[in-house]
Amino acid sequence: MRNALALAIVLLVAVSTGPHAQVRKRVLAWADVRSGYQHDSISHAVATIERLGRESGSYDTFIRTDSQLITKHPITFPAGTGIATGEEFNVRNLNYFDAIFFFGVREIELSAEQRADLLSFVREDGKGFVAAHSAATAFFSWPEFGEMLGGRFDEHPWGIADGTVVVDDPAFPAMRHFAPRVTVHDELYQIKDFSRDKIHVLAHLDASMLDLTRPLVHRKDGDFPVAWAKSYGKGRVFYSSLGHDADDWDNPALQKMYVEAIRWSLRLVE
Amino acid sequence: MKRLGTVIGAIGAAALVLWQSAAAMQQPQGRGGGRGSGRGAPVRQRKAVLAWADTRNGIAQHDSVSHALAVIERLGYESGLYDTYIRTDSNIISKQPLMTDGKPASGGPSLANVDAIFFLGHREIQLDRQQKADLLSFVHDEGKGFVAGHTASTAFESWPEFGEMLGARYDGHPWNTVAGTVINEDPAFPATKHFPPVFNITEEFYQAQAYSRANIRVLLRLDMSKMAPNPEVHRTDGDFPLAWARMYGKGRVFYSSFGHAAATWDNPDISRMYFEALKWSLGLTDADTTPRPMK
Repeated sequence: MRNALALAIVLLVAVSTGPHAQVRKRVLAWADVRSGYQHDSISHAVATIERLGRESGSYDTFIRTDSQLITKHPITFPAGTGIATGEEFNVRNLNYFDAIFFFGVREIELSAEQRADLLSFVREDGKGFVAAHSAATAFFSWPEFGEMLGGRFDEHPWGIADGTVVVDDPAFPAMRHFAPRVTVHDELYQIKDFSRDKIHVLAHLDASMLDLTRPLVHRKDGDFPVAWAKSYGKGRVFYSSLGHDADDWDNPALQKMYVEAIRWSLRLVE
Repeated sequence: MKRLGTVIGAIGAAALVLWQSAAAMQQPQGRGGGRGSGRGAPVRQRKAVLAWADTRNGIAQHDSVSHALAVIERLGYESGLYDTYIRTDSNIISKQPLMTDGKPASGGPSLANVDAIFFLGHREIQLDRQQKADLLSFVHDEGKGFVAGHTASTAFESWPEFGEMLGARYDGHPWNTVAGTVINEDPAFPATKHFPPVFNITEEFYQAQAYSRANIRVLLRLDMSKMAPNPEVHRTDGDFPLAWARMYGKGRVFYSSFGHAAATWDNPDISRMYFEALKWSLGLTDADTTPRPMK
């Protein structure tokens, strides 16, 4: 009996600490692109985020290009819609997840309740929100989203170009692996509606290397953040504009930046 | 006693992590001919696959779905044979997809620009009449591919033509997840070529119904002589297909019920089966799909 109990405990512990255990953090990779331009890189990006979480054992990922799970309320369906209802119903909502990796675009349809739940997921529940590239184009009509994210997209005056990224905070987990200056080839975004009082800029573009006479350049002070971190209530928010092309997501430095950002947002690192 | 258990468990877990790290190190580095920067090329060099898994309809989404989609994406990317669009909505099941505001979609996949669908949805998915017609026509008339896994056979029970296209319907999993012996009926087929004549696997074996061996070419079947009797087994002739292929009009259709658990998609034999099935459905390889009786 004792032996059987010991064996049971060993098996239980082995299972619960194994790589597929429920103790792993859960990330919702949310890329609703039904209302805007779908970047060709998005599927590769979310698949890469999934793979890196699984291989590292840091988190499991749900990939969704719809917004059904952006709610803390039970997800229900009226009878007679041809959709299963009742006891088999077991959709996971935001309460199941520890962080969101967001790669959406433009105006995504969310109800007022969904919007409130999303903000509360970060602000009150202290969950993570890590956003990439076109995420800064999302929800222009929703001021609170911009406040949570910390900045808004303001065109990409140089298109896809070479740029020099200057690391502001080499101590931050998502930045530690970068050299002080890094050359990137990406679609370089100009950011607006941000304040360095509210966001902790982790890296910015070296404005001296950019053509500031381009017609869409609006920023006069030469401040072009490419990655930042901030808190939003109890939650942690990270954004980077890097990742326009699919093969950007094959760059180990970019992968590490996003994975470390996710781990930071999950409070796996400080 | 409990502490010993914890220690042993921790050692086991550590060994597993080490083993996984070693496995990860052996992954080929770089993009291995994948789309990379060629993605924006005006003429598509690679095939395009829509990995479609709309699971918004009330039944639990299998935990394996996202991993399966990511694996399918990686195999196409690393081989350079196809680009994958992952979608869990169904807006793109249309030859002229629309955005949520009714305007034409911007970028992304549609039935007008992908070459095959990898389908991992389940149960009743909401498509309107035109979308259903477009999906059938995509395969039947345009000769595009349709590769479906596991829960796919539970989909669209209310839509007879979908069942006809897929070749069979779901009829439960009598043993839930259990070890079983699989008979490879077609070692010449690209997707089953790498399997031995007989092999063992642990899986949630789906029972198929509403099929005829006059309409599908069975590639793999469960060896029922090795299975425990089960009252939920409805077939009396001992037939239990686990993978099949068929033509639907001009298009190529493949289904396998393998893939319930996320870890199953890490089984190289399983991921290779789906990868080869996609290649075949895309017309990159050929095979005999003549239906034949159980042997």
